[in-house]
Formats: sequence, structure tokens, C-alpha cells
Amino acid sequence: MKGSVDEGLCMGHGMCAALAPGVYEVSELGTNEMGDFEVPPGAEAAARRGARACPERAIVLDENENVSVA
Amino acid sequence: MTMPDSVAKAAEQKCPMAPPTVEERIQRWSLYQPWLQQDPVPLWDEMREATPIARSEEVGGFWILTRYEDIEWAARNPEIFSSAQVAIPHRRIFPAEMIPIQLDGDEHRKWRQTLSSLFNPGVVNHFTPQIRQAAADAIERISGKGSCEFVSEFATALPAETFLINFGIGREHLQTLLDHKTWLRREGIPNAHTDEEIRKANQPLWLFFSDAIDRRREEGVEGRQDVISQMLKTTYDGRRPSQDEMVNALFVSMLASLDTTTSALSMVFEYLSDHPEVQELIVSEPGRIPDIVQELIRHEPVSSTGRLVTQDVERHGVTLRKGDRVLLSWGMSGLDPEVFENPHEVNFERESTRQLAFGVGPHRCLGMHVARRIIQIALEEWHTRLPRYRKAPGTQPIRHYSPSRGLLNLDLVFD
Repeated sequence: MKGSVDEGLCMGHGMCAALAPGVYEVSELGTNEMGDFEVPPGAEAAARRGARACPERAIVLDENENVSVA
Repeated sequence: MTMPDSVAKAAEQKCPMAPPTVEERIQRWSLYQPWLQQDPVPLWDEMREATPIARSEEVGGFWILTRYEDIEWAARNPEIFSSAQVAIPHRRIFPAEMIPIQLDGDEHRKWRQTLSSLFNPGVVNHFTPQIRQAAADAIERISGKGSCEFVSEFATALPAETFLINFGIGREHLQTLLDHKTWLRREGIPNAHTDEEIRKANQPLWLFFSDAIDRRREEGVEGRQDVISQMLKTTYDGRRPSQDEMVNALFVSMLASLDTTTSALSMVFEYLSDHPEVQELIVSEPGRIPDIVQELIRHEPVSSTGRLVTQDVERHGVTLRKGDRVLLSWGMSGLDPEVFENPHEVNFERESTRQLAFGVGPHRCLGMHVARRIIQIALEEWHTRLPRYRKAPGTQPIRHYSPSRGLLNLDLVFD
């Protein structure tokens, strides 16, 4: 599963890392600077919880990885 | 507005002195109503069900946004919803605007820039060992006794100790800080009928903080990460903050952080005291603590602030007029069934985690990282030593809704 963080939207609430520390990391300032990232296998549920918790909706997860390109 | 009889009856039964109709309960709504202190939640549910924008005629009249969606809308439109008045009723507690909570626009933005690095996760991480030690010491004192009164023996001191740690003020000042703050809340503010009287009531704490800054300036700020040291090194708008500005910001931080965190801690532990299966979960899976903290903070509303409307605006067919006041109940937004399925159920695997207890928009809580860390540390340290506890038989907490929602007491016995 891939995801991306819109750094322009991130306001440093830190909810992503609070709920899913295995997926998200925030800087000393509380901001998520991960940009485009890969979710560790098995951590998809945690990634969703962390992404959904963001009050700024700054994290988007790509749920469609299994779509094959013909 | 029609309300199912059963809902109205249930609501009425919980508050024997409440006005008899939904309409009257809405018109008489205020954080200070005696009939709302014990259990405002079902009555808020009823009000939310009845209308998205309610009008209370108390304390000069104000609007109440009952739904998550509208509370967020107001928070994200600070040009319309000004923070020039953040309490209802408004009281001018300092000669100048409270920093940063009472500011708008560029001035607000610049103060947030100055202050945000003082409370960020890096600083919280730096002070975590000391906060943990303060929690551990308090629990050690409690654990030999077999029982405790949680609010006075743990939940009141820990946020205050954390405050002193974060601000680099010596622990020997803890009792003074608590005494001043308690006096201010219980006597100073309630007995002050004019702004001048409020300012007099604030003097002891104002001097407390001013002295703390003077001491730090003398003792030096080299290599220190505490808030006062950083304030003495930082700039606001390209200049040094003045003494009054620094005292102002410290005072506001104290007012914003102590009672709110005490309330959250108290209500989290009240829930836990009634749910041994969650005590068990904390012990067996401490990795779940962040999820548990997040969901319990959502489940128990603490905080509301106010706004002042700067221009007429229409919403849901209601016109909010310039000069009107609006109540934003961050805590109650977490119980909105449109956003949180079965909102009164505690579910640590809940899909919807986007709660606004700490606010959103420019005035979102500066101390949110500290607050969450305090509660997390409390859960970790408490359950290491006191894994099983419950409410003392024959006791019930006495609850309050103002100035924030919380408990006056929580009597626990340990198993």
C-alpha cells in the first residue's frame, strides 16, 4: 500500500504518528515530512486509522495497488 | 422541534431541576447552569437532534453550534469567527489581549510561529523522563494506601508538575502554583464583578510568572529547552517579546492546560475504573495505549471556547449577525452520530478517528502533544503499579461542566 502526505496541509497535530507509530513519523516540530511513502506489509489497518485521524486530511492512501496494468 | 417522548423523558430524568421542555432547555443553556453540571451530554444530544444551530438567551444570548461539521466550519473561518472574545460571558482578564488565544489575523499567526516550537513533540520528548518520574512518584505515594481520591491526589498535581517541568520552574513552587490557581478559580474570578477586580485577582499569579522569568534570566538560558528559556531567546515579529507579553503567554498556557488535563485524566480513569477488561488490555498490550487514549478523549467531552461574529453570515437558514457570540464545543463534537457511529460506545478499533477535542484551525490546542503524552504516561505508570482498581463502594463522582467539564472527585480502591 502506498500513501502520500500533503505537507502544505499538515499542521503538526501528530495524530498519524500517535495512532500508527509503525507507519508514520513526525519531525521534532510535529509535522509529517514523509511525502510519498510505502506502508509496511501488514500495517494497512494501522495506516488507515492514522490517516483518518488527521484533522487536516493531509494523508491519502492508495487502496488500489492490486489493479493490474494491462 | 419535535422530540420522541422517551428521549425527552430520559433526558429530564437525569437532571431533575432542568426546565421541562426541550425549547426551554436550549434557551437556558449555559456552562454555568446548575442543572447542567452533572450530565450535560444527553441534553446536548437532544439539542443536536433538534437543531444544528441553537440559540440560548443566557448571559446576554449566544448561538450554539451543535454539530461537528459546523463547529469545524467555524474553526476554519476565523475571519468570520473572531477570537476577540473566547469566553461566554466575556471577561477582560488582562489589560492586553490573551496571547495567543484572544488574537486574530497576522498578530495571531506571528505569535503562533513564536510559540509553536516551544510545545512541539521534540520538547515533549525531551521532558518525558521527568514527567514520567513525577507520575511515578505520585503513584508510589498512593499505592501503599489501598485507596485514593484520584482527582486531588493525582490528576490535579500531574499537569501542574508537568507545567513546571516544561517551563523550567522549580518543583518547590508546585504548591504555590496550585494554591494560586485554586483560589483564582474558586474565589478570585467568581467574586470579581468588574474587570478591575479580575485583574486584582490575577495579580498573585501574574507576579508568580513574572518572578519565574526574572529568576530564569538571572540563572541563564544556555543550552536549556524549557519554555521560559526559549521565550527569552526567541523573537516575535523580529523583536524580543516584552516581559508583559511573556507573562501573558505563560498565564494563558497555565489557564488553558491545568484544569483541562486534570479533567481528561479524571474521566479517562473513571472509565477505566468501571472497565476491568480495559485495565487488563493496558497491562497485556501497552502498545494499544495511544488508541485507548484517543478514543477515551473523544468519548468524554472536556472543552468549549467562544467566538465573536465579525460579519453577518447565514448557515442552515439561520443568520448569525455581526457582534453575536458563538459557543464552539470541541468536546461535544466527538459525540456527533453523523461522524462517529454509536458515539456513546467506546471502541478502540473505531473507524472514525478524526476527533476535534483539541480543536482545529489556527487556534488548535498548542499543548495537545503535552496533554496526550501526560495521559499516556499516566496510563503506563499507573498500571505498572496498580493494575486493578475500581470505584470505592458507595461513592460517585460529583461532576462539573464549567469552566471545563470534569470531575470534582473520584474515589478509588485498589484490588
